[in-house]
Formats: sequence, structure tokens, C-alpha cells
Amino acid sequence: MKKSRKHSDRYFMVKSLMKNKLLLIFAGITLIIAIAGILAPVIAPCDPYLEEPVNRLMAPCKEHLFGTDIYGRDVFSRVLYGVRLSLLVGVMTALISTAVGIILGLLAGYFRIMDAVIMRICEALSTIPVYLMAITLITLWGVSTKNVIISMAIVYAPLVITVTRGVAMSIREQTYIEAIRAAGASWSRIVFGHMLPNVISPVIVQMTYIFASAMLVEAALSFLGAGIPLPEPSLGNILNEARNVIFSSWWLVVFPGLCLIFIMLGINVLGDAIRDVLDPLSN
Amino acid sequence: MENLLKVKELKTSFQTLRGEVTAVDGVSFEVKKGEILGIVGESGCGKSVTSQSIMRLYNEKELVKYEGEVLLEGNNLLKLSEKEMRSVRGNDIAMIFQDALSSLNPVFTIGNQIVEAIRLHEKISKKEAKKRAVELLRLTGIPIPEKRVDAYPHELSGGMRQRAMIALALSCQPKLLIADEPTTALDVTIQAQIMDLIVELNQKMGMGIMLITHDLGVVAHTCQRVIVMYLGQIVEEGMVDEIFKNPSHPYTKGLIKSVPTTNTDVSRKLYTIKGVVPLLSEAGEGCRFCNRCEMATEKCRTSKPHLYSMKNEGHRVRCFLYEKGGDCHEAK
Amino acid sequence: MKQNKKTEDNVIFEVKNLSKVFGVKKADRKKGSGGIRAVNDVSFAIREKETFALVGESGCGKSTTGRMALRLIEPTEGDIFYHEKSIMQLKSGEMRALRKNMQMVFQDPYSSLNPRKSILSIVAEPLLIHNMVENKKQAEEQAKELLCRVGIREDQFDRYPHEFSGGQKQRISMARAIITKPEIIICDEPVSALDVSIQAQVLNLLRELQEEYRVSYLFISHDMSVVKYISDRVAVMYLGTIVEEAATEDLFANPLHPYTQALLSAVPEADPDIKKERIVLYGEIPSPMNFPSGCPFHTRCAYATEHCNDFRPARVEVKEGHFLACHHWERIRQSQRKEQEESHG
Repeated sequence: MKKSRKHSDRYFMVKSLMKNKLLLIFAGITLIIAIAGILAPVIAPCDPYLEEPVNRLMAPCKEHLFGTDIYGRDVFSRVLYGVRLSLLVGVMTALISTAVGIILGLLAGYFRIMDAVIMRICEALSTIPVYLMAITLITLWGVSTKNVIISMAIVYAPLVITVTRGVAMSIREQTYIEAIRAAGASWSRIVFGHMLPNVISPVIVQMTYIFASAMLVEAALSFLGAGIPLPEPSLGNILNEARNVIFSSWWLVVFPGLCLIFIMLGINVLGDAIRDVLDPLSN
Repeated sequence: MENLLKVKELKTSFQTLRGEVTAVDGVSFEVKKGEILGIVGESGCGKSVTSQSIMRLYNEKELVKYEGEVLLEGNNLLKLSEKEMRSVRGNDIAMIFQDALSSLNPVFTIGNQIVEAIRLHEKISKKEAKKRAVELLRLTGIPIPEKRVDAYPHELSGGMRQRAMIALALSCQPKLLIADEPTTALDVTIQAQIMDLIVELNQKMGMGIMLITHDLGVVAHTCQRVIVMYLGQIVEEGMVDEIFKNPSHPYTKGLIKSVPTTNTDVSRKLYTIKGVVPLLSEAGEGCRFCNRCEMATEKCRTSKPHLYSMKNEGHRVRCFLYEKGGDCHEAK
Repeated sequence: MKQNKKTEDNVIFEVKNLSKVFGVKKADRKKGSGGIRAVNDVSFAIREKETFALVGESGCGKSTTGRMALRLIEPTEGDIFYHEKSIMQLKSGEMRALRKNMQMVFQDPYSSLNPRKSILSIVAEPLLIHNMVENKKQAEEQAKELLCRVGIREDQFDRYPHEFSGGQKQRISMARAIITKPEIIICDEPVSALDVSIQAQVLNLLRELQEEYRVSYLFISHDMSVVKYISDRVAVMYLGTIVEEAATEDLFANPLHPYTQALLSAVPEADPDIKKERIVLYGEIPSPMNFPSGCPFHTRCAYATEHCNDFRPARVEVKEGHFLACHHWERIRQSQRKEQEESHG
């Protein structure tokens, strides 16, 4: 019994999460896929751009684990690089939209005047469907990895802003904010020194969601040809190129598709777990 | 007087992330017909858990375990099925809470809620039930009850809401009323009105009342008998005058001395009980108060004191100081 | 411990005719033009090393008054003086700098400390805000000393607020307030959220710190027994106005305003021997949204007349240091004396 004092609630939460087998399995699979993607240049057996017309559309075999595509490129290597790129797009989108969103959300939550302006813009942005918005921006700026990330960051920032603002507004009313104001703190100290640490955990949960859905949107955009420019491999690109031969060459669709599904599931399950650990009391 | 409620060795434990916590540990007492029994103690002493256990308000499937007996006129409530328990709640035992605003449903009028409660336990027409509701509101001192019966909870002031909740609790003429900090959220002048009302209803309707509070002042002026709880156990029990004039347990003594009254000598420091209430999980082998007690001896740290009877009847104290004075009350 | 302060009259803090109306646009902030009149024409002065208490029931405007004194809420009308200089004209930066001399302790120990900061950094922060130390380390040194002083164990300094009990949190709040060595601390119900045995500890600590740091308190509370114990002078508020103000001894021995009398008689005392003739107040406090005309108390006052209905009683000094806002106090006192004599005779 004495032992219990030494450990925080968080410790007990982590401990109980460790007992959740489903969570561990998904987290494990996702982690393996992600690490494989990150280490793609080391692991990949072939050059993902190397075309071998002789070996076109080979079914999975010893040399080509996931088979080859219509140009004879090794699908396994392309999937690895695709995962890598998709992860990059997901992470960058999540980071940029979160950074922008937290700052704007905090300002909106603290200053009533800014609240009106920022929230109206957010509402306007969120009325436009995600894909339409992303495609429009990419068409305007031209197709490139950078532009895909930036346009998706713009699409997702309002989400973070709304969440941050909501939390910030409730924190602003807490006595400890009034207390630090009574102690003579300036607004920047209040907003970034005291409110920021308190909005982080709900935003991190939001971030995992953005991470996952940005990857999905990227895949969809690439599939439509408005995403990562060919021939660079992304999961969406690989699927895009496979669409004419889906029925004859299943491996072109199944392997990148499975990767995408597992990463999605893994990130979502992880997001829930992170929420539980960061906020043991919400459970 | 006849016993209305008899609680025997009640033990309530919760399953938490950190393991099992026993919030109420072997509590025995009785409420007699028509008496007001006060249960006092600081937060975490288990006074509210005791009342919630009597009503069996916790989700029994996963979290909580009850042991012992709760006998309402000889009928063990802990043995009843959930369905039988439902007819006890509201009908035989009613409860009023600290926060009237959140205990009344905001989307129904006061009248609706009372009518519903009456019709749940009695088969009478809506019209009759509404008539009864108006009478109940009048009884609890709400002015113009014919009009207020159609008011929503948020339209009433704090004191009026508390009265409405009391009316709701009385709707089925319960044998026992459990009042859990009924006036803590109210102002002193309103608190005085509500406490007067509770005493008046007790005299008029003759039901037993269990008054749970942290406010010694309220207890001193409304209750006949008092139970003092500390860390899930009863430490002292006795008549009001006995407890306030001749407090015997060091905790009771300290508690009474540390509350300033308008008679307190302002030039002196207030008496304080040293330290803080420990966590339930930190309670050691011996007496639960020993770490904060000025009289504690080695014996207190190693063995558990029982409730010992004192000279005056019904006065029981859980402290080794009185071990020889009376005979051991708990046969164990 | 209490000293007679009649002779030395060094007022350090004074508010004059303070009013606050909520929910009305600036353009039509005239008297009686609607809105919620939370505080209405409140004046008081606090002397050096004195505890001045504002008591009243919820909604009487005592907390709003306390916050206005620090300009955490901007008053609608009135003026605030610190060492005889008005602070109403100060710009926000100057006001911030001045706050090191005026600190605050709040009612709710659970929400008044940032849950994501260690208590050491919470207590050290005011020093950093006001650049009173050269570096963070120095600030933490001072904070450690003070935390020890208020009774927090050294091994607990790196812990977060949720690991402490309510009483300990209130001690930490006290340390945060006193670390800049302010001249006045506004204590907004500092003990009302605490358990009885802990309440006494915090009250003692408040007194000890007053001795050591020569600080004045504006003590806001609804608990008459606590106020009786801690304060030198008391002002009783009702519906945004001060109805009676006097030295503590005087007020409790000799309450003159009918509201003060009722309030004192309603206090439940933890002593069954104190039997009081309870003055029952009928009805409830009127909503500040439709502020009654005339005397704010006339709707519940047993002695009210037509006159009270129409005219607001002025604040008069009935005895040295005893202020009152009641038209009929002399008549009331006479009739009460008569009653007493009759019941004794």
C-alpha cells in the first residue's frame, strides 16, 4: 500500500494500458511499418525508381516480396519509400497546423477581439470540404510535396484552433490565471507561460488525428493526381498507378492498402491511449 | 425509542486504479424513530459514503463492495434486489443533497418532478398528485406554491430550490430522511431558515433524520445525537450536549476547540490539530488518529482501539484512554 | 496580539465611492440605467498592518469589491488610493508593476494553482515577474525559504499542486502572495473551502505572517466567527453597499443595523450553550438586477417605513469609528432596549 504514493496516476494509467492486448498489437504493427518506412533507404532491396520492363507485373516471389508494377519496379521498395513519404507528409502537416493552430487558438481564447476575427475565418474555412479545399490550393500553387503539406496544414489548422480556443477559454476563467494576473504578469507570460502548458494535452490528441487523416487525404489526392507528383512513390501514387490492373495484379493494391489501413488504425488507437495517459482523470 | 435504521458493521470498499480502498470500515449505529442524528467529520471521513451505501447508490457491478448489514425496520437493505431497492429509495428513505440545482432535473418543472415521484410509488391521478405537490411546497414554506409548482428549477433562488428538493424528498412520506450537507451551499440567513424547516418537519411528520455535515455549528443546534467520524470509522458517539461539553476522543476535542465561535478569545492562537488527514491507504496498523494525536502512546500505533462505552449511556469512544472505564462494546 | 490602532492613523489603502455595474454598455452607464449593480458606492480605508474584513452573504458584492481594489475588474465609478495616490489613472504596465505591493489569495485552493507547474516555480514566479531577483536560482532560493516557513516539507518542492491537500495548497498560495513582500493582501474567502481542523491552521498562519511581514489584509468572508477571530475592523455588506462598519469588538457586542443583527443571530455556533434569540429574516436577497429603491435592505427589514422605501440612508458616524447606513437606528435601539427591559422585568 505504501508504494502507491511514489507513483503518479499516470504510472497506473500506463500500467493498465499495458494490459490492453489489442492496443499493443496495433501499436506494434504500426511501429514496425513506420520504422521500416523511415529506414527505407537502408532496408529497400531495390531502387524504387529502377524500371525493369522485362519483369513487369510479376507476382510476389523471393526477389520481389510484393511483386513488381507495370513498369517493372519493385513494389516492396516503392511501398517502403511510400510509407516514408506519407509519414513525412502526415508529420509535417500535423506539426505545422498544430503550431499555427495553438498560437492562433490561444490568442483567440485570451483576447475577445481576436476571437471574433480568428473564429470567423476558421468557420469560413471549415465550410469548404477538405478535398475541394486542398485540390484548389494545390492547383493554385502547383503540384509539389511542399505545397501538398502547406495546403493540408491550412485545411487542418482551424481544427486545432477550435480545440485550443475552447480549452483556452475555460482555462482563462480558472483562478490560477487570475492569480498570476493579480501577481502582475503580462499577457505574454499568461498566455504562453501558463495557458500553453494546459492546452497541450488535448491538442496532442487532436494532432494524432490530423496525422492520420492527413496521410489518408494525401493518399486520396495522389490517387486523383493532385498530390505528390509522379514518379515519386507515395502510397496514393502506387494505388493510382495500379488502378488499371487491379483485377489482374492484386498485389499492387493489397500491400500499399494494408499498410495504409494498419497505420490509420494504429495511430487512432495510439491517440486514444495518449489521451488516457495525459489526462488520467478524464477516464 | 424504537430503532428505525440499524447499521451493523458496514464496510464499503471501492476498486480503484491503486487497488482496493475501504472508505467505510466497520461502522455500526442506529437511527431511532423521530430523532435527528448528526454525522460529522471532515472531507474524506466517509460520512457521505455511509449514506450513499445505505441507499446503495453506487454501481455495484464493478466498483463497490458492501459488507455488513443495513437493517431498515429489520429488513436488510444490502440483501435486496435492485428492483426491491428502487421501491425503498424515495418511498422509505429519501435523500436531499448539497447542490439542489444539479439534483433537480432542469427540463421539468418542480411540480412535474414531485408528481412523478408520487405516482412512481402510489397509484393516484395526475390531478390529485399535483394537488399534493402544491401542499408539499406549502409545507416547506414556499410562498405562493400554486404558482411555483409550475416553475423550473433555475427560476428559483438557492433557498427556494433547497425547499423544493425537500418537498420532493417528502413526497412519499419517507420513514428516514438523509440530508447530505443540505445547507453548505447556502448563506447563513437562508441556512438558518432551512435548518428550522428540517427541525419543524421532523417534529410534524415524526420521521428519522440523518444529518450529514461538516459544520459543528449546525449540529450543535439541530441534532439530538451525534456521531463523529474519522477516516472511515466512528470515533465518538453520544448525545449532543455530551459531545460538545464532554468531548472525550482527542479528535473530537481538537475539532471542537479549533472552530472559532464568537466567544473565542481573539488574542490567543486557535487550537489546531497538527498535520493533515492522511490518505485512507496510508492508515497504519493502530489507531487511525495516532499520527495527529497528542496523547498517542506506543499501544496506539500498534493495535486498534474498539469503541468503549462511557459512563453516560450511549456515549461511546474509540480511544484506549477509556479502555478501562467501560466495557468493550464490540465483541470481536 | 491585537494592538490598539486608534492613535496611529496611517491609511495605506483607500477606496472611495466604488461602484460596479455589469452588463451595460459604456455609453449608458448612468446610475439606475439597468444592468447588474454588483457594488454600489462603497468606501473604506485600510491602515497599516490591519485586518479589515468585508462580510456578507453570497452576491453581496464583496468579492467584486476585492477584485476591483486590485483593478482585476475595472470599477464603473469611484477611485482607489494607494498611499494617497490614485491608481485609477495608471496605465496597465504601471499597474502591473504596482501589483507587487498588492497581492491576492483566492478561495478555491484547487483552481488557484496552475496544475502544470511545480509549487516551487509557482511561488518563485512573482519575483521573476517583477525582476526582484537576478536569476531564477535566486528566486527559487527565496521561494524555498518561504515554503519552509509556511510548513511545506523540503522533499515536496518539486511536486505539482494536485499532490497537496486543500490546506497545503492554501499555504502555498499564501507563500506566493507574500514573496514580493506586499503591503496589502486581499484574501478572498481564504479558509471557507477548507476542513475545520485545517481552517484553524491557516488562520493562525495568516496572523503569524502579518506579524512577520507587517502586511495588511483585506479579508473577505461570509463566516462571522472567522471574521470575529481574525479582523480588527469589519464592514458588513448587503446588496452591494456597506450597511455598517466598526471595530470588530464593537460590531459584535453592539450591532446597530438590523441586517447585522439578523446576520449575527443566524450564525450557527459550535457550542450548544450559546443560545441566541434568532431574528428571522423573511424572504430572500433581492436580485441586483432590479435593485430596490431607497435603502437596499427595506424589502426584508422589520423596521422599514415609507421613508426607507424612497430614500437611501446616508453613511453616518454614530460613534467614533462606527459607521452606519440606516434611517431608524436610534428608534430601533430604543425599541430593542425597551423589549429587553420588559423581558428582564
